[in-house]
Formats: sequence, structure tokens, C-alpha cells
Amino acid sequence: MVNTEHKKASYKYERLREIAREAAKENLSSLYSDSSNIVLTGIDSNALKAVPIWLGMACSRPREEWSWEEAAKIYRKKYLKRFELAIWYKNELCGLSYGRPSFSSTRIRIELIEGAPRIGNPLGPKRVVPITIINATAYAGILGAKELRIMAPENGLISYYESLDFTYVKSTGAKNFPDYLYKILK
Amino acid sequence: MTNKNDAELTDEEKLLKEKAKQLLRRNKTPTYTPDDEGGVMSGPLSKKMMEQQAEEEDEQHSK
Repeated sequence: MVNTEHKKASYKYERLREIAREAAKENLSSLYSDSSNIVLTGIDSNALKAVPIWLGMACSRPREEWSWEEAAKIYRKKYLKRFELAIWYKNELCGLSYGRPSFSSTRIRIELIEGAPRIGNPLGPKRVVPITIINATAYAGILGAKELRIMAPENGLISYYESLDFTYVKSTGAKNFPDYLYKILK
Repeated sequence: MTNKNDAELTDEEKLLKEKAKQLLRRNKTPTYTPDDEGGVMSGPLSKKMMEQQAEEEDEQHSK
């Protein structure tokens, strides 16, 4: 019984993420002339299989010590309502992100964002974050969330996020209180 | 990887999609950011910290 309920809830939120991606995709068509080449999916087995290709590409930014497989195990198990997105340009994986809403779904935290290195990113890394935010905004609309947060931003990217109308909040050093940026949705 | 046609959505799903589109109309996101190298843009680099962040309670954490 519990298992059936879990499966039902899992399916429900998978559908909500699909609907958010459809709304985001329609939005992209009014923003980018090449939007027909941009494909939005969940972080499925195809996405996880494509990530190792990034490791063979030069990137000036430090590499993470974790894998997206490891992240997927945690987010899939713990958070049915999770935010997740894989961004493709035709058949090439360009970006991945995970996040989760708060308990009452009043805000969505985007906790992990990675873009393919510039050399292997036909979409261009500069479009990975905007598309991620557009999709998170669509998901916020569905869940009724009024705030987006980007957790633990890369230091060199704080002004980059501020240019996207996010406000930076520095960590107090307290446990479970990393640096983050937030944006109140209108 | 294909999107469902709107005709395939239930009435409730159509309503939710409209809510998503309304929020997108009210909250425009700049379409390009300054050029970037790619790589990790948000989130910790260390595995321990990534796991801790994913496990930690937000003020109001969510399942």
C-alpha cells in the first residue's frame, strides 16, 4: 500500500516536472531562434550516460569530487518533489541541475548546476543558467512557490547571478547555512 | 524527449501549465548571461559537502 502511494506520488511529480519543461520549452521558442535544437528532459539514464564525456573536455573551473550518478541516487530517493533538468542541444548534453522545494513549496532551492565545458557545449555555457532558471520558474508556477534560491554559488559567479536579478546572502558560518542567492517571484 | 501536445493534457494539467506560463510572463529571465566556461556553477565541489547539502534540513525541508 505504502509502495503504491509512493509510486503514485512519484508519477505525479514526474508529470509536474514534464509540464514545467513543456511550458519552459514554449517560452524558449520566443527567446532563441535555434530553440528547436534545445531539448529539455529529466536527469534520466541517457543524461547520466552522457556526463562522463564532459570529463574529457578542458575546463578552467575546478572539477567536482562527486558524480551526477551519486547526486541522482540521493535526490531520487529523498525528494519526490525535486527539481531536475537536463539541457540538450540536439543530442549533446549541455547542462544539468538538481534542487528541491521547501516543505510547503513556498520556495525552490536550486542546489546543483553544472554546464558542459565551453569547448563541448554547442548551446554555449552562457545559456545554461538562464534556461535552468526559466524551467525552475515554470516549476515554481506549478507548485505555487514564490521564491527561487541558488545555493552555494561558485564565488566567481555571484555577480553573474546578480545580473539575473538574484540577491546575494552571505553565509553566517552556521551549519546548514551556506551562501545563497534569492529572487522573489512576482 | 518529445513534448506532449496540449490536447493530451488533462484539464488539471492544462491549468497547471497555464500557471507556469503566467509566472514566466511575469518573471522575465535575461536570455544570455556573460560568457562562461561551464563546469560547476552552483553547489559544492566536495562529495561530502554535496551529500550534506542534499541531506540537510532546509528551514522547512521537503520530501
